[in-house]
Amino acid sequence: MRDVAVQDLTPYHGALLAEDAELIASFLAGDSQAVATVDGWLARAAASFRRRTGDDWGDILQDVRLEVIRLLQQGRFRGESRLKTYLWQVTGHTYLDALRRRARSIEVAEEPDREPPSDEPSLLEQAVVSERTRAMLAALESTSPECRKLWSRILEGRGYSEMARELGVSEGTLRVRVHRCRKAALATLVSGNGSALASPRSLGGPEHRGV
Amino acid sequence: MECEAVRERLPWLLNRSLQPDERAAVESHLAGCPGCRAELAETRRAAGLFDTHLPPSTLVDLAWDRPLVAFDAGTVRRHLDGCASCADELELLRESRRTAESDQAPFRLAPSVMRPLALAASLVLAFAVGGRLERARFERDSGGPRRELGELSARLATAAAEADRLRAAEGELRRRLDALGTPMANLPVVELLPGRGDQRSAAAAGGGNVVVVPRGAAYVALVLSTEARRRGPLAVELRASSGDVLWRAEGLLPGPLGAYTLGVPAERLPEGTASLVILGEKAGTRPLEVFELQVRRQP
Repeated sequence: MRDVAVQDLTPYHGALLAEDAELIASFLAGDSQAVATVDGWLARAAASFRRRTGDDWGDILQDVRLEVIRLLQQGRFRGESRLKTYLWQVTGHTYLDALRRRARSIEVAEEPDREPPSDEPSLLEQAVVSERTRAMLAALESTSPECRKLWSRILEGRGYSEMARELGVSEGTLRVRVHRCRKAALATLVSGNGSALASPRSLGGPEHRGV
Repeated sequence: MECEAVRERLPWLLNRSLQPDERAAVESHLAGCPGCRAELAETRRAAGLFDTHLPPSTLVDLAWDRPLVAFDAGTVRRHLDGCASCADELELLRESRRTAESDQAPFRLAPSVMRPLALAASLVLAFAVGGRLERARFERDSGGPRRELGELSARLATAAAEADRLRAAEGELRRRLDALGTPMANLPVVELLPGRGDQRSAAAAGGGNVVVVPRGAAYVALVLSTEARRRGPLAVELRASSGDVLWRAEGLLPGPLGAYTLGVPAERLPEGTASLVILGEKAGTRPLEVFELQVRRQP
């Protein structure tokens, strides 16, 4: 699992404002005015992502609508903020997920003997994944900026000829540098927290959404 | 291709940017080399490390100034310093948040801009205020009546369409009434006998009652002969071969000779096989008598 949204672990203090509770009830009941209000918010929240998502913007907005319906039906909004703010955040989260899926050029395979994670991870699963991600971020920090830059281009889908031209080096030199970066990265992974970093499962897989 | 050459190309095999012939050569080598396949798995792990980013939820927390839960501020800041894509995504989220806040905040200008603008605006306002106030009052006062006028027009259009429909229905009913009032010559009369045993087989084998509807006949008189005697008015249903009830008549009483008679509009007798079923008038009663029909229309 690469990006797992961690459930807010802070204790719940607030209560839904009556206005927000009424709007949620009307929206879920299909009241046209409530639907128009919520839809208007979602579209405005999504406006910032239009340029980056191009033709997919509308499809992703539809994903946002479905996610909002799911979260509100499950009572996941508990009044920690105004409903409008919450919906803005859900929209941003969903668009980021979509942008990252589009940008990913390398799919990391799951280990065949592992069960796929559930759609609603338990607090323990979330804590384990957070720990993995923290360890990965720490390992990444210990790699050189040059290695991160080279691999960033590879992850964007660039070919080695193109990269060599950009960097002004021969293709052979580039390939060797990348290979050394790979070895250094693996050494970092091994020397870090073995249990947190050993599993390839920590490097990819389905993402969970929860704001 | 040698192992060393293959291993150097593995990152570009994974990002699918190798040329087709090169890819084929690498894949062909991998198929027969467990060592290089293990290197491929390691390369995938390394790619996963370099593709590690702050989770979207953390970036959303940052953009909205919510407390960070999963990561300390130092880790987040250091990652943002070195990861252009996370920094870019955070900026997108902040831009989105600014949209939310501009929705809510009243528009405010800086004081240095306000004063000259205020002077210019007041001059324009002095000339325009009279006319604008009048217009605003007109807009406000006429808004209600204009809406009412729109609603009335819509209702009028609906009522006009309904009136047309009712006039057409009235015409049809008058035609039918006139037809009923006219004495009918050459009224076809058909005596029907009840089915015996397997009613459906009787009809299928052609043993059912044949009702020939002459060309141009408006009505057909059906005489339902039955030896059974019943008390009280009965109901009769015409059922299609599928069992669907095509129509129902009530208040059926036996004539002097014990038979029941029905005057049926010719158009209500569908060509083909059907059944006339006599029942009690109460709903849900079982059939008392069934008459199988074969309806044929004269061309």
